[in-house]
Amino acid sequence: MAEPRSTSPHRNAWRRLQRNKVAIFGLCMLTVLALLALLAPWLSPYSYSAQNLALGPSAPSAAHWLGTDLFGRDLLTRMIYGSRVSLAVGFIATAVALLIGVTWGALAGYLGGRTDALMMRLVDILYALPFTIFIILLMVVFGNNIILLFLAIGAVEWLTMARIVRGQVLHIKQQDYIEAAVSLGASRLRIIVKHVLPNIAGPVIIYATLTVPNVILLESFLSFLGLGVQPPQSSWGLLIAYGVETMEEYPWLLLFPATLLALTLFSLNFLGDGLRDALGEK
Amino acid sequence: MLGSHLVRSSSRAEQKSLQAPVRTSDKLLSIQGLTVHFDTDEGVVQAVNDLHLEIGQGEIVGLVGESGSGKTVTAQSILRLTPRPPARIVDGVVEFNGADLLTLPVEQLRRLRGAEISMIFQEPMTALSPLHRVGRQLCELLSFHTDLDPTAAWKLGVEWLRKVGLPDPQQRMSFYPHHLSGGMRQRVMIAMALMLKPRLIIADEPSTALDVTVQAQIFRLLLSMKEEHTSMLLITHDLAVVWEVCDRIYVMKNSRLVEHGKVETIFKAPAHDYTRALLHAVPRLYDEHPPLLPEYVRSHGTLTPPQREPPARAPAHEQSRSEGDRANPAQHLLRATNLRVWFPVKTGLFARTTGHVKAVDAVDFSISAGATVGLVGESGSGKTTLGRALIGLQAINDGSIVFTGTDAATDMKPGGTELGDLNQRRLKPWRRHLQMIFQDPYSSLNPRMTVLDILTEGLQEHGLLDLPKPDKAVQLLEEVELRADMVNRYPFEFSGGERQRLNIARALSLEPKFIVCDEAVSALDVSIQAQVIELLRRLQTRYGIAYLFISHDLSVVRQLSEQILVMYQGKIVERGNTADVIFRPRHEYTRTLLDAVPVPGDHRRRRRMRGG
Repeated sequence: MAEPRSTSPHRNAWRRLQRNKVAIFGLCMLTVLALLALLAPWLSPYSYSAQNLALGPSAPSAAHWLGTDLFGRDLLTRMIYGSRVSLAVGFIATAVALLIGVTWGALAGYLGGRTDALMMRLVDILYALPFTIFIILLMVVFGNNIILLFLAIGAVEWLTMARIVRGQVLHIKQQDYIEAAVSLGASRLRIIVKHVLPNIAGPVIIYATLTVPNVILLESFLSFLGLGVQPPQSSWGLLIAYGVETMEEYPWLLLFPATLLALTLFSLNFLGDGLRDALGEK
Repeated sequence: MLGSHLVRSSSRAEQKSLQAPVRTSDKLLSIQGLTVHFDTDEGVVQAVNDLHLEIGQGEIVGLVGESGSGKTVTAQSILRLTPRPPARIVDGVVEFNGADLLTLPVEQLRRLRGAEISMIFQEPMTALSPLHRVGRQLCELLSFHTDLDPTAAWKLGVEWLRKVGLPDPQQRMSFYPHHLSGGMRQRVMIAMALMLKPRLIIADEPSTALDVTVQAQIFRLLLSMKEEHTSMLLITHDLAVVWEVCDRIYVMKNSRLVEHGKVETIFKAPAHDYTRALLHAVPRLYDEHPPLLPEYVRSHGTLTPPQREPPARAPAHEQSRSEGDRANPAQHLLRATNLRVWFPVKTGLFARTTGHVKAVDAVDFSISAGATVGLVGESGSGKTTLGRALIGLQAINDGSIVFTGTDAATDMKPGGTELGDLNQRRLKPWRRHLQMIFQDPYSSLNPRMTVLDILTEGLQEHGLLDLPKPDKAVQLLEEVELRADMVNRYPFEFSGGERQRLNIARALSLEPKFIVCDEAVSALDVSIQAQVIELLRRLQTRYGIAYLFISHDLSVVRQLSEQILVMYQGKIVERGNTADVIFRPRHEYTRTLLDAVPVPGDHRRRRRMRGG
């Protein structure tokens, strides 16, 4: 019954995205990174913690493509393992932010009135806390735990998401199709799930892609401060922190991790921009 | 004509500016061979195709056509205001007072805009700066184009606000645009367009956002500009307006000019089939028999449904009227007494309630099964609120709504149920009997749902699906004369008229007893309007549905309703049989309303309006 050329809003957006070369580059880049991170144990030439003190820090060579660090550990291996932590933090924390933010914002926006006011005041109060200090406090109290890191970052990032979602819901709520659904007898839950959420998916996806780099940066920052991932594990922030210390003698230790981080952030932003354009209309 | 001899190169502008301007016409504005293309994802679309149009000094010319016919693009092209991309002016000459506007250097064109040629847009929201007070915007415009001192400019501004019929002009000068209603904003914009006494006014659907009474006032004002030899190009879909206002008319269809000539001539004897169909589709307030669907629209309209039924009989309301509509109260399907919907007005820091907007105030209403009641009034009169309250979409403050359309499946008290007392969950069994068709065909369908899901949602929610979902959806599509293969599509693939049919199908899906049609055809082109009205009528005869037909357009209401209610400031000021209300109005307001409705073909009204 369906014709082959039948289009849907998602398919149209995908078509528009495909035409955006930079966004597609970003998407490919992220896919490659994600694959590397997933397959790290099989792909990486060395163990991430194996030290070779005899070798010490060495410049890029045929044996070690990106050189070795102060303890003679292979930098490429450590970067691949580092991407596991950084990407995981980025995506999981964003997922946490999405879950809380969308639920909170959608409920506040749809229920409206006093409930809305109360829910959003709470968001305002949380906003007012200096969030880096908040995370540092959490880390100090509960110790360094990578799961806690995910949750803590997500718990901070959901605030903006909630605000965005609420604003969108307020707009969607005025559409006649919501009224039509009410008059058909649809329940509140059904209206939120079937009518409201699908129509705010665009801005949410866009904001999410822009949150991931934020979170990655935040993790790098915390690790840089010594509050995130602990050695011998590695993350991009940690590698950059070491790189900075030895910047003058061994510049590659800073250069390669920093370039990879920058590339990843670029890719995510390109993809986010591309999605915004693709989902912008209709 | 001239268009085909043009040099089509990018250096056309330079070549032309070297030559002395050649006057090809003694008209104020002359468009020759205008062709505009749109570059879209699907390829090049012709928006305007080889269009020729002339406007003389002091002449008012109407450009009519349905949505998508290219009339707005034509208007925008005159001042090179077409959005680019996607629009590309491919060919043509637009000569204004001897200069080709399409090749004029931007600097000179800018000087013409506003002072010599001014535009009135359809959308009043975007044309005023939201950050500045109305008075300041008026004065700035005056001081930019004239050498009036600030006090004189202010005075002139107030004067013009008064001329466009804004109440309290002195006070409104210090308002921000968001303080004003859409209609008021539109009037401010019109004042801005007229204030500088331009030689040509291009008005693109200037009255679409306005009530009829205000519309008449605005057109009277625009007509008075004629005395100053101002010309006007009026772009509209409303032929009745063209009849009352314009000297000559151009008809466009599918990007091409179909026909043009004097208004009287064309209205009397249209040469082209399309014009004839358009004219035929215009609802006329005083016609003895409302027109049925013309044959042309049936076959050339956007839809060519398989005609499963014999063509419509005499309009439903003609039949039921003879049955004696003063039915006894027990037969009322829905009855509301002393209905009140008041919205609190909150002011100040702590949002204290300082007053109420009485949207619906002590209204009595009743409708019997299978009947149609028309509800007219201007925007803000409370029509929509009343409609929403009647079907439980709006909480009421006082009064009662009794629904007697009993049904074995829903266990209702004999004698009816008080809808106003019910909360949302308890209302659910009644919801299926009370449905609504919305005005805006775009915002009334969820863009993320397929037609299949849209049409079956209500049935699923009530557990009433008696057929597999696709079969039921196809059945409903056929009911509203849409094709069965549309079932898996998304709303954006449909035209306005088709969307309105989907709206109707959704409302029908629950087999309701009562449907509130809130301006259900107002957003549609006349030919589509006629089709949808016909469809509503046919469904009523088939299923005995009662309609509350809300509209600002008396001529449309007249076509469907056997009873008319006139609403003004939250109260019903007049009610009666359609013929009585229209031919023998009792209330002052009804008379004003009727007086403002343009009637195509009525020479007396045309003369009076045009001061001839």
